Amino acid sequence: MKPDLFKIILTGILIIGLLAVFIIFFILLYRKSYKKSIAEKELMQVQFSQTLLQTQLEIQQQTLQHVSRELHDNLGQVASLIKIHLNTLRFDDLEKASISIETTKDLTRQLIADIKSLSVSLNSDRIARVGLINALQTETQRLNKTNEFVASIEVLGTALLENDKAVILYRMSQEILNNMIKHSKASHINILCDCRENRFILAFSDDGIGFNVTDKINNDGAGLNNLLNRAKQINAELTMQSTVGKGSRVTIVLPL
Amino acid sequence: MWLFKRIIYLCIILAAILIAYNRKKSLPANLSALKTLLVIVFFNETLAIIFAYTFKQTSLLYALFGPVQVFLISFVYKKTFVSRKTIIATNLLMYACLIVMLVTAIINKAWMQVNSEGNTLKSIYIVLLCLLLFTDWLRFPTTFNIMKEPMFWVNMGFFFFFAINVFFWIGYDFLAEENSAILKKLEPIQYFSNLFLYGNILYAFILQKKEVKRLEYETGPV
Repeated sequence: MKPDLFKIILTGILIIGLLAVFIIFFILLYRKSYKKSIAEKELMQVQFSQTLLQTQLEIQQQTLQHVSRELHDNLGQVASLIKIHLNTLRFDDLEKASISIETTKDLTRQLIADIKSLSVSLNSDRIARVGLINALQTETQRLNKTNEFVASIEVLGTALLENDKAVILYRMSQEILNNMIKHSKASHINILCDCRENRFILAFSDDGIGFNVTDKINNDGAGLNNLLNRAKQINAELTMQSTVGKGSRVTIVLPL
Repeated sequence: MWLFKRIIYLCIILAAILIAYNRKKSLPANLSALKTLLVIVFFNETLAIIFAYTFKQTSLLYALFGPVQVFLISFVYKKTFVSRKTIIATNLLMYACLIVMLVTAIINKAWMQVNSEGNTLKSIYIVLLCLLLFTDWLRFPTTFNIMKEPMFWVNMGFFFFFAINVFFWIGYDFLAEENSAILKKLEPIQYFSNLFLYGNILYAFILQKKEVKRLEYETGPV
């Protein structure tokens, strides 16, 4: 059987034609796939914006509660004390009056400092301006000033974070630290910021009384669930480890 | 006429090499490897002309060039694939292909005669890489106009060239035995598929921009 040149050429043309059809088909399919992928990305963007907005609203709500608590429990009390001192000021005994004025001055100074501290902790723009690490360092200093805790911060590596994510991380840090202050009965609090290997790790540990994580989340852990949700919203992973009597550790891992 | 055709073919490869060197700062890893492959092809083809005139056969050159070609083309594709699984599969397929090519080269005494089995296998392997890249692009589309992507033209060139070569090498032994005159008549198909491949690569390097765009992110300090 002799191979026929005409048939071979015809087969060749057919093969080339099929390859060309394949390429055209691929381009059409690719464009369709690209449009679908863009639509999915846009939908994800919208969903992300919505969850971000929801988080911001929750944060605002919590912030207002925090302000209300601070005003009532701290600033209000100090202001009342000032008022009492001023009301009980007796000018017939100048020595006592002088002591009372000095105490009032100290209370006023404390009030101003507390107002400043509250203002600083509320200002989200500050995070964008000074950065998350600096803001956390300020928090550490604030904790040390109370003389009830020995707080320290360790920073490894550097990284750039989007402002939205930095603000959410800062608010989460404030909530974790507040929980430690209120419930842990710890004497040492440590913060670790590790920005190496394409991920940002933020870890908080204390040497307090600890708690049962599962029980806390299942029962009344609204705050802990809130933290878990917020971590999810910025694509971060939050883990809590705690042993009763041996302290707690909360770790946030954010892929960069 | 043969020499004239070869010179045209070499001129296209040389033009692609010069443009690739002109854009060397902006070349990604895959196109950089392709540039190296072109330089090797250029020297191989030049030597092939000399060998054809002096020793009357070029089998040894192509037997040595085959594995290098498989290795470099695999590298080009590995650097282009997005899917990690595809990259691992390419590694495994590459080693399997190289081993079988070596075995067929020894059996067929590739340094003395054409190793059609080895060439068929190599062509099938590279067509498979092309199809994997097409699939990868469909799974992870990145740009609306794929025709402005240099790798699209490179992939299309390899796809046409090696798909045609699969059929050519499958029928090679049969045609050489039954009607060697037809093989001579089919040479233009191989020649033009070569021109198509290197023409596509040349166009891909032309499409590659000289400057690398700097990525800017909207970020704040940590």
